[in-house]
Amino acid sequence: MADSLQTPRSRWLTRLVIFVGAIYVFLAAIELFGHSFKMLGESRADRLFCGLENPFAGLAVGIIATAILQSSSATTSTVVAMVGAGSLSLTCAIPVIMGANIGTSVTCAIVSLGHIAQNAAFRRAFSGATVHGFINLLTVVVLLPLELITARLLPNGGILETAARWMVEHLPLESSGGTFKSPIKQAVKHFADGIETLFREILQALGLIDLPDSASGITGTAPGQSTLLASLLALVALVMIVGSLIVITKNMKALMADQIEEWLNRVLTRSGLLGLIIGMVVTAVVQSSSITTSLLIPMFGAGVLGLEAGFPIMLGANIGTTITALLAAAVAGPAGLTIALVHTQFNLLGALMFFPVKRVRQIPVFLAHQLGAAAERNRLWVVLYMVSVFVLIPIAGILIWGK
Amino acid sequence: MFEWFLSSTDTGAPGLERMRAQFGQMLDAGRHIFDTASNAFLGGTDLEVIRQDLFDTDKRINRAEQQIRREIVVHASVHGTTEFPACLVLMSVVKDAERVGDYAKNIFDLAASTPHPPVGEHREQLVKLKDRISGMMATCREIYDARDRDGAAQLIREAQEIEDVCDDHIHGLLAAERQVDLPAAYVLAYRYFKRATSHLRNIASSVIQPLDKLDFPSKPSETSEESEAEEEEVVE
Repeated sequence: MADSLQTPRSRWLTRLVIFVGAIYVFLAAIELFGHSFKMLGESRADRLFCGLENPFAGLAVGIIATAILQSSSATTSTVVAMVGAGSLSLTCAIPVIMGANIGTSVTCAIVSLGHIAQNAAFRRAFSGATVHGFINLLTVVVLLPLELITARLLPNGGILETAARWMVEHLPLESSGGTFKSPIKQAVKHFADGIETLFREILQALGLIDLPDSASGITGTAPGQSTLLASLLALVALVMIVGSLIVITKNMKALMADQIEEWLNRVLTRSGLLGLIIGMVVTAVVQSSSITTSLLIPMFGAGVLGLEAGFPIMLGANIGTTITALLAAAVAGPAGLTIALVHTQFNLLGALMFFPVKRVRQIPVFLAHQLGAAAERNRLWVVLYMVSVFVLIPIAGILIWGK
Repeated sequence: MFEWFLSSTDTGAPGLERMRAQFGQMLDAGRHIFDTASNAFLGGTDLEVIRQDLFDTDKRINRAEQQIRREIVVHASVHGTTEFPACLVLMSVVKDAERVGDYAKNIFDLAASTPHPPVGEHREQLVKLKDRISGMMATCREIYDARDRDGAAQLIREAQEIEDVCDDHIHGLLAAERQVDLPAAYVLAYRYFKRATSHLRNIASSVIQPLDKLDFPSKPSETSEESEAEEEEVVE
């Protein structure tokens, strides 16, 4: 195989095939994930996610899940699958999506720690990392309360949810009898069904379940058995989602490295719309905002990229990363598409809030500068920032909001 | 088995080539202002006519150096360690190209400070040296672009000869018992010519020397063969 991959052309073609294959596996995994939650049954899924009625718990789940998976795309696409399967309500899912945005900035912060031994470089790198965190935090600080307040005033959820529902209602989606008819969904369904059959047969062979064929449904079987199969399938789907996203990201980064280098060179000393567009395109291509933002950290550290020039790239990365959830929505139905659109709106509004007006733009930049300077003087600020953003704030929110 | 997957399909070659092209332009600009400043010192040029062009070109060289450094950081961030040694070599040689520009500026300042152009034997020597160094600058770019190891070894030998000639003249002027017109100016001119040549030698050495030995050239006769022998040792 190695010999056949010697020429750049054959490597390029191989990577293209891998990309298409990984996208297919990703979509099949989303289908399988949603299916496993349907299998769990509404009542059990409801019990599993009843804690998310508290929006700060949802926010905490989004932050922690993304920080652990190191991928907001994995979190948002699983949320899309769960919403699409009807296991998680749109209202509960919105804070999780917002939390995923905050959680993704942990990757940058971790990368910036590589400069910790050099004061000046660390100050610049940590400022660069935290500007991403501050953008996402401040966007949540504005939009989460707005969503919660408007949810009490509007009949169909908060303003983001209502707007997303309106968009989906007005999209020319093909449906029949309330069922979402997506050709992509049909294309991946056989693969997802095949995996389900495989694992059912394995569990049957092990004597752990005696379920009938899925074609006849799973109703009427012992609840413990269906839970076992559903949990196993959910786990397999999650591994497939994360695995396919890793393959897509690594593959596309390797494929596009030269182009990404050229684009980044163009925005090094500029601050503006071009940076935002490049951040968006690079992230959409590699399907990972963490990759885009982490690439910037060594540039911040070396001082060749200033916070003002890097800031729009971060905003663009936030918008670009929403493509994964939109992609997942292709197999998750109208509800899945609605939450994916909420994600897109959230990041677009974040960019609209912080990009056009210079004084507003300077808020996260100023905060990041100050935190970077404080961290240069005393490294405890790093610990304080990480613990506050990723642990204390969500816990405090849960406690304040109550059950 | 999966090394090829993790390694970039995009090898980083376009980025490196772009930086090398910029570096080549730095060498061209360096040659231009070296010629301009040297001609001004050797006589026959109105200083005020060339002043603006010379200083603008020097600024362009400095900006190109900064641009290449920035691009090196971007390249290393995107491609990781794949082209790390090439990046370090570029980082080193752009400094040499920038220093050539600085010495050209020093030669111009010298021209502005001396009451009249050089005359006699030293003028002839300086004209010859200037022509050789200017030619070396053009050759240096070609050698660097083509990764011409033999050419680099040849240039290093020639650079060493020029440096020796400059040193001999400097020592001669310092030890001279007879009166010489503008001795300080000649000493400085030989010194600047020698330093500009040294930087060209450093650039040529990057084609054949291992990274750790850049700027510390071996004896001219040993340069090419020793490096090759060392490389073979490493391979073994």
